[in-house]
Amino acid sequence: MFQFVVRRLIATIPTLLGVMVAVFIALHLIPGDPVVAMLGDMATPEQVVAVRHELGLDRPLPLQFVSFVERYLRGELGNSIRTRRPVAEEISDRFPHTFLLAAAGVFIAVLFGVPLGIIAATRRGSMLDLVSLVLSMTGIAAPVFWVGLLLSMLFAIRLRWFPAIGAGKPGDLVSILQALVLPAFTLGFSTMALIARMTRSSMLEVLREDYVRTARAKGLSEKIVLYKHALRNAAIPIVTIVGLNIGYLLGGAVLVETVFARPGLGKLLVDAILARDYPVVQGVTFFVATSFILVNLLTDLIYALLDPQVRLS
Amino acid sequence: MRKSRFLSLLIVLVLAIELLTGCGAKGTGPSAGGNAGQGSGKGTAKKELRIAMQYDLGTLDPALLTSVTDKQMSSNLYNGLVRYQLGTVKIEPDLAEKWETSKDGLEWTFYLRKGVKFHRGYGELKASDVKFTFDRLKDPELKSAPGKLLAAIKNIQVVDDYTVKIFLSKPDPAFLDKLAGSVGYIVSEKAVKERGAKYGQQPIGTGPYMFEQWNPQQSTIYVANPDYFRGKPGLDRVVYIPIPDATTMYNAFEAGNVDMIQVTDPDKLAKYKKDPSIIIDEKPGLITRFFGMNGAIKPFDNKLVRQAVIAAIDRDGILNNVFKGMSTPATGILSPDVEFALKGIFQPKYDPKKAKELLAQAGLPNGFKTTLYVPNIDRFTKPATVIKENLKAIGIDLEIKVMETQSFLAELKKAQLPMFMLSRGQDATPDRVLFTWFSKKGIPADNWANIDIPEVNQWLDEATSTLDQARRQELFSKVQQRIVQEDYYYFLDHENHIYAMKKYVKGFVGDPQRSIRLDNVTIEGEK
Repeated sequence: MFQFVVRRLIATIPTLLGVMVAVFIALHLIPGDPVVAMLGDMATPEQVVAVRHELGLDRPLPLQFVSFVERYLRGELGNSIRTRRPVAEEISDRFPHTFLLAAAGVFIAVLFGVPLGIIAATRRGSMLDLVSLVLSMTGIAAPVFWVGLLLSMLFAIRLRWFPAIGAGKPGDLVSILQALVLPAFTLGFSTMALIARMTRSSMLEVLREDYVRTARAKGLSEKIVLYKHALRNAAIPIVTIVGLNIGYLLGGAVLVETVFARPGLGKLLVDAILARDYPVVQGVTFFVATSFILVNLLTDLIYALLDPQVRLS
Repeated sequence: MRKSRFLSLLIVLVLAIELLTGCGAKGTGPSAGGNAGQGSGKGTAKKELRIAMQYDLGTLDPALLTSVTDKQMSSNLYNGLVRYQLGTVKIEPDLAEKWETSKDGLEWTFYLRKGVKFHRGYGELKASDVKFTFDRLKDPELKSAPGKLLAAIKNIQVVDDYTVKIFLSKPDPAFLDKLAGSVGYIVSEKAVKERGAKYGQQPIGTGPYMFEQWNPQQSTIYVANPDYFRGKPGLDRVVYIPIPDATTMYNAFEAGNVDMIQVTDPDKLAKYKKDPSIIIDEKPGLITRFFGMNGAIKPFDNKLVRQAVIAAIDRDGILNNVFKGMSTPATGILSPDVEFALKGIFQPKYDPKKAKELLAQAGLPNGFKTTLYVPNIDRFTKPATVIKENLKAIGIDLEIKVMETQSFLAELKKAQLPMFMLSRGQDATPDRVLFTWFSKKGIPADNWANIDIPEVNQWLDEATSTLDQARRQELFSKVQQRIVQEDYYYFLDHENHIYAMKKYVKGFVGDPQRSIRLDNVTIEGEK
């Protein structure tokens, strides 16, 4: 197990390097210039040239890339061009918000998705199955921002139960949770739908297996058959979906963050791209890529816990 | 298994909340953990104004700030030597009570107001702070971008504590206007030196409000400055909340989570105008929306073709149907508030029949194909579709290319796009706009139509360097008239800056530069 983890960690190095190269090239290929974004209309061409020089943006691209990799090897992410603050600080300010949102999204998705899938599988063809199907299809088909706007219009503007924007007052748990409800439901909705569909089909398959029939023949209660024998075996595809979706939720959080004006990494990244703030774009992408890889590794480890037949080698 | 997974998810959630309530609460500022002012909309006893901003705070260091949001927030934090009279672009004294200029325009003497105090015990404003502020702009370590605007400053001399002389390397007729902008805000030498790189997020000014706290992407909080030299301001707290997405901003306003927003959607404006609990403030901006034709690209090198395009445009259709009265039709190049602006020189007639004749005269009776480049923002893409229809009616096949704004600007600044649409902000004086847009020296960065008319070049050179106001007026007038006659540009309109606020917000006055100054703003009655 230890060996497996070490090997997997080493294998992430080329992946991360690839991400760095790709981001660097993409950033410098798209037209636009942080200096023009900064100086706006008021600057003369000479002033633009002067600022580009001061920021080191007029050096040849390969040189800029080498110094970029060198900085990362030293553990420095550099400073934002726009705010002059360290990129690491910009990320650490936002990450807890995105993490909380993604975790709450997964929580809601699993909390509602798994039971919905089980009900649908055990009462196949019933009215409940149909309701679950309709809910899931809506969840998969409805765009995140649309769900967010609908929830916002109903629960924030009309009923005024939850705020339409923000992440609550810092330090005030009640207001943080209040501000979390709508975004978390918005974010978790489509994942919930996926999980429900996956649980249903996976459960249906497992319920047809011989060992389930054996368990029932032994006279075990339906509850034990379902939860102990069937669900555990049906869980692997569900965990895969959840694992893959945590990465998606981290990235997909950007839309929810925008709709609810919440602080977070996604919004930091979008703002940085629009302002051509290269160090921030590079830092956030690197951070998200690393998180994604770690979550995948964690998912693989959970497989082994769930199913002793899976060997970590 | 399911239970334990459920449990671990729960633990993760609790941990994340801990993380937020614990360390997440740290904002920058003297008192962390303050109220972000984003509750469910219930009013507090304090007079607190919550304003939706387009972006989050970047930096409030006047030597570095460039975004509109940063400029708007800094306008209530700092003072300059001079400022604009509220709601206008007329210069009036601010930190300087009066000033004198030498005959050659190279030597400026400012006499400072006595007893002005910097926020939070940073002492009285002295001439040395003024010298420090402007010397700092030239510090190569700081890499000040806006500082380049004041590059004409040669050196600064402190005469005594309340008198300062600024020497310029060449006369600059727009010098006072530059000082009235954010780059001219005076900072405290002591605070800047003490706070170093953190100054931008922990600023110290002399203005009516003091910086209290910044919660990244959530809020920037100001409190009243009890020692403000014009008297204690009308609000206890100002909370700026960044909401970049327009729909979200309207939702937040309607849900009562913010008290004041900028309105850019005509349908929302119509709705709010009917609502008795909402006040609207409208002001034509120092900005002109236009589309241009590149004279260096065929067939726009032919004046007849350019005239045909201009005659083919149904401006009333665009302004009434797309913008529904949210802007003021342009009758000249410059916004009417700009000094020396000529009004009534651009009044094109919508005449498709004449347009077709002009095209035929130009040898293009069957029209031609061309491309209009626009940034990916509603206020350009929507009128662009009408222009496409208008031109189709006279046989011109127009392709619309929509680009992300920064990419669009990068392409535009090569001056190689056949047709382009944009709106550009202006200053209170016409120097920069007229010179960079229409002089040969503005090619390619600003003169995107490749206009090169020897007389115009010469008039502009003289107008922007003489201090003789009568001569400047004469030359700038000639330039404006001539440029309109050449038909390179269709000057569509001046966008209005429109603010909507709840009726308990009193005393707000908008201005042509949308600086959101809160000079006389207060809260009266129940929220």
